[in-house]
Formats: sequence, structure tokens, C-alpha cells
Amino acid sequence: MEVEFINPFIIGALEIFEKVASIELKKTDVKMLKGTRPSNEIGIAFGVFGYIIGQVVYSFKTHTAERVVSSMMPNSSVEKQKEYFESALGALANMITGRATILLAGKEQVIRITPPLIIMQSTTDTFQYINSPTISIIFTSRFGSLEINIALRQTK
Amino acid sequence: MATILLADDLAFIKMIQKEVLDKAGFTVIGDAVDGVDAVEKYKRLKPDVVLMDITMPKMDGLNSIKVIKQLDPNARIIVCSALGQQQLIIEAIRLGARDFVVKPFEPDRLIKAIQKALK
Repeated sequence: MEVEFINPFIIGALEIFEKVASIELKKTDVKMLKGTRPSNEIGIAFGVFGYIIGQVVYSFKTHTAERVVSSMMPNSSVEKQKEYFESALGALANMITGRATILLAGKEQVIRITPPLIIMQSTTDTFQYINSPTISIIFTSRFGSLEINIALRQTK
Repeated sequence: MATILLADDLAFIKMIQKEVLDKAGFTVIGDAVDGVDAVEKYKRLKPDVVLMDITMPKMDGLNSIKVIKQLDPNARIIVCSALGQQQLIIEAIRLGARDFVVKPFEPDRLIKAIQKALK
């Protein structure tokens, strides 16, 4: 796991949260873990392949995720926010990952990602987390914290 | 008014796109959840423009563009993806996409891309 993979995700998270949900994030901690398993109840996982391979897992506590989605859809009813809950979180994490891949790929390389997989507490045991060195970035916001667990390595 | 097919695996993105397009007076004629579905819906609905994501299950957006362009070389397809890497933009344009709009998008950027494709 290389340290230069961290900054693009920090930049992506700060930019996309502000633009899509009008939420200001603050990075509060960076630590090493043995795998990507998240510490919060709701996870959004991506496989990464191409120039860089591995896995990225975003996670929130349920009440934080609900308030983030509400902030992404400020003019929608609670019913509509519930209807789009999972895909809104998937879209948010997809845009952060996409922004990070633009910064990581540069002009020559290509990095692809899988569609987002939303992992709820009930399905977390069936998901295959990566057990390899992982950098975990913690952000706080007025709605609670976001954790991004990144286990990536360069293929060549 | 021009008809648009939305191809994206995330319902939230299609909901936002539809809101923007409805306001601008376009007609969203259908939506697809993956690249295979996009090809099927293109054949059936014959939209004026397709908004195509790249990262989708079953068949990705780039392969879907390839298949649709084989069926209809005049198909107007605009990629709308978070993966705005230079090499992917070049690949999409090489396959025949008219434009590449990076998510998150400004409504004006999306509308202008569609208007330009329709000219």
C-alpha cells in the first residue's frame, strides 16, 4: 500500500461532499489496518482494477448516512429519500472514487472500478473484504463521521 | 422535442438527470440499468440521444457504445461518468461518443452537450 494513493481520496471526498451534499468534511485521522472491513454499519465497496488494483470501502453509521442522503436531496420527501437511499450513497462514493482515479491515473494510465456494492449490517458477513495492508482515513462532519478504507497496489 | 435514453446503474443519477432534462424540455423516453439493457432499449425506443455511464454491471458503457454504433452508426451517445480519466475520454470519443460529461455535472454542461449532439 503506497502513501501516494491517500491524497486523491482525501481531495475527492472533500470536493464531492461539498459539491453534491453541501457538507464540509474535516480529515481527523489516518491509520493503518490489516484489512478493509469497515467499522460502521453501512459500507459502500468498490473493486479497483487496471493500473492500480484492490478495494476501497466507504462507511457511515446509519444515522449519518440518512442525514447525508437528506442533504443530497433537500427538496425531496422522506419517502423519496428512503427510496433512493442506497443508490444515492452509491453515487456519492462513486463520484469520490472517480475523482480519485482521475488524479491517480494521470495522462497515460487507466483505472477502472466495479459498480458500487452497498453492504448493510445484515449482509456484511457475506462480503469478501480484502485482508491486506489498508489505510483508513477518518473524516468528521456536522452529521457524523465517514471512514474510507483503502487497500490498493500498483500492478507494474 | 428530442428523446433521451438514460443508461446508468444508479437510480439516483437517473433521477437527477431526468429532473434536469425535464426542466430543459427534453423527453426521457426510457432508462437502462446496464450496458446490455441500454442496447436493447436503444433498439426498441430509437432515442435521439443516449446518456451512457461507463461503470455498469453485465456490460460496461464503452462496450455498449461499441454495440450500439454497430447497429446504428449515426447513434448520438454522450458519456456521463465519474471516471473522467484522459485515456477513457479518448477511448469513448474513438468509439463514437459525441461528448464526455464528468459527474458530478452542472446542469448547463449536460444540456449543452445534448444540444450540440443534436445539431
